[in-house]
Amino acid sequence: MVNRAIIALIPLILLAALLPAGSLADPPPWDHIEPGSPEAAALERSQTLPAPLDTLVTPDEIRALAQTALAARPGPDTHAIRLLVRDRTAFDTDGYYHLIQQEAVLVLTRKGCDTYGTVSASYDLPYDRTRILEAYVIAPDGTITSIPQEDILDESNSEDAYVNIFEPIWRSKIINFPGLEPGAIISYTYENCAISTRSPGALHWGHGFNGTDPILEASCRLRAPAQLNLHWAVVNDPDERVEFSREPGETWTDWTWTGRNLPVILEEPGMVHIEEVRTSLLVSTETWEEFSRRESVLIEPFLVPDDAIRAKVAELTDGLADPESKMAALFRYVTRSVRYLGVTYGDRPGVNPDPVTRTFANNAGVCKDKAGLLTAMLRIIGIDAYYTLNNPERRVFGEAAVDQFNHAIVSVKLPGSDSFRYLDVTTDLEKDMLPATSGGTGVLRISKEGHPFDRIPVSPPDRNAGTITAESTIDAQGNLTGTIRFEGIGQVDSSFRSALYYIPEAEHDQWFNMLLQAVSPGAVLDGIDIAPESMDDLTIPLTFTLRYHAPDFLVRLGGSYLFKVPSSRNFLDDQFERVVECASRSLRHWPADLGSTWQMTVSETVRLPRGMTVQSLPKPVNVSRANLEFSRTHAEGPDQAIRFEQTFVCRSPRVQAEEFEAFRSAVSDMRVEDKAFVILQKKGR
Amino acid sequence: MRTMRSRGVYAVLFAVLIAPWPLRAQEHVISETVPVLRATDPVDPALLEDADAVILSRDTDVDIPDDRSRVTVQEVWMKILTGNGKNLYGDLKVLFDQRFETVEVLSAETQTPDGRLLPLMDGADNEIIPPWLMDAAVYGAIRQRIVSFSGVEPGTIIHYKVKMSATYPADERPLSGHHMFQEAIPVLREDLRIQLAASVPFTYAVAGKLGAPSVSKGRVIEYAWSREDTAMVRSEWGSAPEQNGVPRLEYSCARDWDSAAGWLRNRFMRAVDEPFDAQAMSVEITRGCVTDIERASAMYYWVCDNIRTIDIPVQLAGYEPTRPSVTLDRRFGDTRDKTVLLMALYRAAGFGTELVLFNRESLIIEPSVPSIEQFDSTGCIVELPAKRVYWLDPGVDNLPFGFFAASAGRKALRIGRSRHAIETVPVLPPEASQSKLEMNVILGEDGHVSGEIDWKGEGYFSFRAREENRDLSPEERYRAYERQLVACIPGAIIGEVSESDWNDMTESPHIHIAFSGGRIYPEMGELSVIEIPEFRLPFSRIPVLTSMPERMLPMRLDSTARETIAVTLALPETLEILQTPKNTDARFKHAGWQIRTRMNGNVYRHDEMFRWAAVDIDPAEYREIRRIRSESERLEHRVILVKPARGTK
Repeated sequence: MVNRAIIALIPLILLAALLPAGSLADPPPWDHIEPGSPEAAALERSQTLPAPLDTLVTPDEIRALAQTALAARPGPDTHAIRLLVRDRTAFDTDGYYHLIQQEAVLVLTRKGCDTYGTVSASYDLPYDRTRILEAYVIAPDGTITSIPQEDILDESNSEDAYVNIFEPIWRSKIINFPGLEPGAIISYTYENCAISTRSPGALHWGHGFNGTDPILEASCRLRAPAQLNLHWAVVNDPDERVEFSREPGETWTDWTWTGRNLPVILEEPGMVHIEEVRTSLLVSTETWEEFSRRESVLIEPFLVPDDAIRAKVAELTDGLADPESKMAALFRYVTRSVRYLGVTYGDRPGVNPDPVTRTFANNAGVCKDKAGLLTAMLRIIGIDAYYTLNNPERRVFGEAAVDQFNHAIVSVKLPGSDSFRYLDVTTDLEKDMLPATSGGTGVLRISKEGHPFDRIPVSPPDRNAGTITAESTIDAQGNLTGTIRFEGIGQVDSSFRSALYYIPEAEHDQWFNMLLQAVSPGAVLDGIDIAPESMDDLTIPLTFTLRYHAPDFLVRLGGSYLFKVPSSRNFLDDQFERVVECASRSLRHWPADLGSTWQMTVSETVRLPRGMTVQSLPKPVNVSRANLEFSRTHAEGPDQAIRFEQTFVCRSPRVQAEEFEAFRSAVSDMRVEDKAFVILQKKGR
Repeated sequence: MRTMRSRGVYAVLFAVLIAPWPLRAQEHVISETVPVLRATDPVDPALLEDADAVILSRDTDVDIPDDRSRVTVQEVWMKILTGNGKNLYGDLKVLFDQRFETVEVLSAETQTPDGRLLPLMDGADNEIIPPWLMDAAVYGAIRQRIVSFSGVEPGTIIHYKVKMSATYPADERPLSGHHMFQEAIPVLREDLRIQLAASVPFTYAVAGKLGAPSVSKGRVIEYAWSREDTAMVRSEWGSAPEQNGVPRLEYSCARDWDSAAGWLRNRFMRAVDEPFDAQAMSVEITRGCVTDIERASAMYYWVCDNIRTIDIPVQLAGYEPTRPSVTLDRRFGDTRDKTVLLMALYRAAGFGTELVLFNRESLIIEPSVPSIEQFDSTGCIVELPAKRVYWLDPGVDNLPFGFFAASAGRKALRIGRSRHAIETVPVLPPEASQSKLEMNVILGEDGHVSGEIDWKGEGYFSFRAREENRDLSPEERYRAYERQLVACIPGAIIGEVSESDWNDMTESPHIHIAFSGGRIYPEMGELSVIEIPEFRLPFSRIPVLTSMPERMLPMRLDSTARETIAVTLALPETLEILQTPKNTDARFKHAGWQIRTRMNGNVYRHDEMFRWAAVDIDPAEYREIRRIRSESERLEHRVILVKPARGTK
């Protein structure tokens, strides 16, 4: 994963140490710095930048802040209160910076102790160094316990190992606060200096003013060269509660933003990414176009193919006539053959793509490397292709050109087309070459002309559609045998393809048996036919056919026999479950994220046992509001059968807070109708 | 917060423990070309069916001289068969303890499907803290060496040769280890040789279908095993770890359990006996307690709640516990540290106490092999007057006193001051873990409902409820209850909620919820079918996976349990009740289920009970369990047939 968001994240990282009596005297040495090395020289350069420190907060002042916080009677939902978060940074025109951050947290509950008992500050060996100036705990009785430097760990940050990125250059300083109990305060100050920059010649910065715990005061002061004008924006601040001031000087100008007691974000299951709703500052020294052009100079040299790549392109596109097929062939090659793997290499690690020749030779790379290779390959066949930055996890803000991206994809414009298509080469399983969940996310195409910020369009529901066709027969003993055929496109295809890919083939029958229990307890899978044979074969649409039986399917209740049409159980509809889960709350404050638009069409013919007639059918259902459409009918046919039809459409991947009430009532109406039965009786009754 | 560990961690742990075993110091010639082993030999296709990769050959040499060192060399050829195989097997990962062990990668290369030989690329050989141990960095001697292969795709052959050298100080634990002969992919050929100096004690045992080794004796003794065409493990959801039943070798260089247990005893009791102010502390903690059990449980809960748990298996953390005084200062500790602190408090209070080592993943311990590496956690036993004995696990948050959920029915090592024994962890009776749910629902004439829900849990359910709820804020819990309510009554809204104090471990947790709104049946014609609502909390039922028609492997439940669900549904006079569920019973050896129903005017009462009396269910019993479970889920037992009462429109 391109690790581009670190700069924006540094001020948000929990880490502060408090210095005694307002002095920075006697800081510890920097780790991983060789005296006389270029890194040492760069560090010294950054350290001389005058971080705009104001008076450091003393332990007594911190205790006073804690008293103020407690006097406001925090509710039982409060596990901790961040008393202050202060980011003080100076930077120069090349993007080198010197940061000192202070933070103090009052923990109130066991969970608060768990959350803040260990804090870490990350840094990256190629780019910066961090040292903890001081850290301590103030116990409820006022005793102060300092954390000695030898107890502060310096370890590789290996969280990315879960996604096959093994790079020991990402590191953390780790503080375990001893003796933490409810009522204690932790306090820490750290210093972070650049030794090189991810964005040479520019600075991108960010700061958050609220979060899941209350923050009494969060402030960010940037000291910039006087001649520089900053592009900045504070997002999610409708009441303009973040105060801003600017103090110009001859050499330096101080820009300060302060937020006090901003609303806490109480997380809701299924809500959008918290960064989308947090009140945040975005600061940049450039525009989006400048960003795009600057990156182009640095990245394009790595996208130059060699003869081996040209030969492979020729081989893969041999016999293919149109650009679309050629593009698909190259896409499939890069997704299937180039393994997702991240190791440290070259200049600007984590940012620059590896040279495409290396990615090709080793058949390995992360998103930036795979995107680089595909870009180069597409250009060989004359397709207008761009290396493109993206963040698939959340919708980034376009108000200021701050690097909020953590991913790389490819933008293409096919001959004769006015609009861009987007290709994501990091998943083996997207037949449409881009997950539908990327709809709405932001992109920046890297080009020497400079591109503006843009968004990937949201794909409509008929591009993420599934069809279920089923037949079943109930015999005279009340046992059911049935067949269900499923096919899907877009997100529907991708969702099932992923499940079938990652669940070992030997366990597929266990999975389907589990799903079939929704039809009837004790239902048994008799067989499955699944295509394609290998889920990463994107040339073949995903389809599967289940054959099953359900003993004692009919529910006997006196002289009546009840059942629900098997495919009406929605056990093959992922999105339906997601919608139901989203609607389970009575109230939402934040938008909910459903992932993508969706459409599922179901039809089933159920043959009834001889000797039985329909006594009662569920009434037709039609629900249409809040971007949801649901219709369902049961109809009696002349051939001793019931015909069931259902359509479910979700037109938006988001549910805004203001439309949630309508959404909830729509889902509630749908769910009540789920409880309806077909009721049979014996002929002659 | 500590929870029952996922098997996934241990799958990785045990997978890589295959590699770093002691080796014979023998030169291996590394060929310039990688032999394509058995690529064209006939291999039974059934062996490779569903496999993501196949180990063509694995040779492991373990060398144990008499100087407490161990050298292991392992050489592997593996072929990738599927796209997912490249993701799963494209990297070599070796765990090691950097205090005692070093890892050398003697060779690593890839043969591509078209025959090219690819070396490792720059930057492909790394060393990190294992990601699942990042929170335990303070106990930080364990590292993971990761070698990432180039050019990996279906058809690639990966080859590597790894050497782990280990030297253990004289006061370190006796050497021991294990080797799995079956795993998630087929193994076509495997050779294991363990070579020891004759003076080194060696005990071993083999489990599963693994034959006796060939043994050659002299100044050096060699044990050798060979296998061919080993099928891959096919896991079944809900089964105990695959190790149980997998052909496996356990070995130890301890003379016997006396020496292994004695070694542990010295370390742990030394820590337990540390002169800190345990007496005063135990008095302070037990202030206000009257009985011995109140005192014992007060101390237990104090350690559980006041010492933050750092989750790391004891084989990785080491066997030297932190002194209680340090743990008290730090206010965090792992399973060893919390155990030792608790034992020190019990000792100061005059209670008998013993150390227990067990395996939280329910591994079947091989009792004939004195290897302490079979255990991954520590706990203790406290003996109160009148011979009341309680097994305790302070390393897991939220466990009630005396509820020792992990490895029930499995072997554990119990170590006292002068004795030790391998004992079976008691399986508590179902009545020690009870979940009681009562739901009172009033159905209005307009079809909307209102009502109340009460739930109480003990034992396992108390643990699970606190695990889910204790660290949530009231608002967060409210929202979780709301989700469960709407699942059974669409459109319902929660009103008042009252709960016991989640932090008071002496009280069984209970929850009361009032609700209103929502509908439990749609409008129909002449007849309506009402499904009796059943409110389910994530922690109110034992998870019992019965979707598979048959099992080959035993199933493991989290606990024995007794669950009762009582629903009272008051129907309006505008409805005439035509049919209600019947009384039903079903029993088998270790499971039982019962429904009792009655009508009182227009009020329907439904009482249901499940009883699970064992935690290990063999495949034969599983069929009956499945039958009972499936029957219990049938709608016959959960619906009422109604129609409008005479005179009602």
